Amino acid sequence: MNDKLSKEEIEALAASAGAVSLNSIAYNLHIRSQLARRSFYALNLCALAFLFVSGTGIMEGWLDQVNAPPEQGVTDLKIRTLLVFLLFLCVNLAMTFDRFYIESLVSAISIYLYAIATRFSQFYEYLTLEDVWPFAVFVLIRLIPMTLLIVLIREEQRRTAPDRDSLS
Amino acid sequence: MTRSERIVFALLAAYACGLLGLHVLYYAGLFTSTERDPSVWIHLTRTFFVTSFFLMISIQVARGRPFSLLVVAAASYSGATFVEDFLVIESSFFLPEHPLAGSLYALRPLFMLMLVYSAVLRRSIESA
Repeated sequence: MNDKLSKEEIEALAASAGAVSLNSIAYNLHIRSQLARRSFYALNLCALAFLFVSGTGIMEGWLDQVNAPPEQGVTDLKIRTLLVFLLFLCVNLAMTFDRFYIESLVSAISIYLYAIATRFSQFYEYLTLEDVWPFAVFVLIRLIPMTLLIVLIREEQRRTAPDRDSLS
Repeated sequence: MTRSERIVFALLAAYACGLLGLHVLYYAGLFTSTERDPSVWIHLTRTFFVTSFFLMISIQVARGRPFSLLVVAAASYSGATFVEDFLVIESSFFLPEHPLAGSLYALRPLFMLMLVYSAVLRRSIESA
């Protein structure tokens, strides 16, 4: 039997091998649950929305409605944008190569928690009753990515739980 | 925990205790840079985060449960505050002239390195 592959066979093999590349977001999303997939897309959407909005004056305009000094003792918007961009990059690269994914998510939630805690702490001293609804919207917008991060971490832990159990 | 992990953990705990001691002195009204102090709430936030990480990791170590993700989270938090301090509100919390604050500031890169080392080591042990 001739063990050499024809040109068509080699091309077909390369095409099928390419379709199931382990280092692709498509494949690594495919092996995860639907909830994880949707949360991942939603988190990316939130990060992109933040990166887009931070370049405009919309956020500061909204903050003007709340009676608080935006620049006092709070991380500069440029630094926050840089951190969000880095975490966005980390999570997506981790998903692409399926390495350090849960670590990226945990890092993101840790920094995000600190960022929103300091951001909210800025308001406590100045909030009045009239600021309740803009502040509530402000809080809700920040709680969405946090919820998505928690869901993604839970899903990832659930996905890797059988591996951990089989090793122990 | 391995021997090297125990040593690193003891050094990290000593640093965290020193940091919390500095916070206590701040609340007692000693050596604060009031003219540069941005907000007492940010101070409280930092005290809360350091105490929470320290307590949660210590409890998990005592219970013999996995704690690598907590160390990863603590390392990330430490990195974010480092960026914040040096790029935005440098030396705004304590007077760096004070010996305790000065030594803690000087040892901060070493502390962060030890934290990252501890996170990588523990994560590789727990996921192996």
